[in-house]
Amino acid sequence: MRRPQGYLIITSPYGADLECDTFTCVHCNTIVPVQPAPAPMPGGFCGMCRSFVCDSCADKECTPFEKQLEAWEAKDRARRSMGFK
Amino acid sequence: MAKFGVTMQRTASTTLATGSLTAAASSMRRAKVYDLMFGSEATPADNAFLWQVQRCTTAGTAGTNPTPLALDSADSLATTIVAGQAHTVDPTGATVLMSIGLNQRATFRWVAAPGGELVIPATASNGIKFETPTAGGLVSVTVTAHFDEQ
Repeated sequence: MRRPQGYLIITSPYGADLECDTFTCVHCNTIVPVQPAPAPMPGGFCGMCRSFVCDSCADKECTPFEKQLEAWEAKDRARRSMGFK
Repeated sequence: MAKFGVTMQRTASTTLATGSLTAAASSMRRAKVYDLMFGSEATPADNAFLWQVQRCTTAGTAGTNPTPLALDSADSLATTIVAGQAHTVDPTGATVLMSIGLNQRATFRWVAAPGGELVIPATASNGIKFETPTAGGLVSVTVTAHFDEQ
């Protein structure tokens, strides 16, 4: 995979170690292992974010994870400002 | 941005988290988990484990709270991230971020490249938990996580 976003290693006493690249879904932050070609590439590609997305986000509209983080944090700040914990 | 490492242990449970990293209840800041290691230090045996990394929206009740250690001794933790292990009340799970089936004899490691980290939001008690929803043997298991406090 060109420009992988992570690397995964499983060390086992049986056979060779399993190693593969991973990418992190730009919409939900899920880690997706990528098997070497000719295995099909999992997930999809978001043209808006110009990055890979996982299987479950592949058919959904573009909601960048950074936007979701900001929404969670804003909600938490609002709750705190109203005295809730 | 300071980097920390923490090891979380417990006797494997199919219902309770092995460990968690959550934002503190106050003075929260984001953190990025960039290195994860799973394994078992028990006597080797052929048991099947399913390891999951899940986003969580509550911190649950941890048996103990291991102190994250600064990778650079010049840094100090501003208690913005709380580590927990051997939970007695499970953190409320949400999205599954990673699911890996492992033999008890195997060791797993994932390292993120810059930009591929798992992000803990600066939201009170929200974060990431590590658990074994399938555990062929109730033996001692360990998670080591490295994170970058933002």
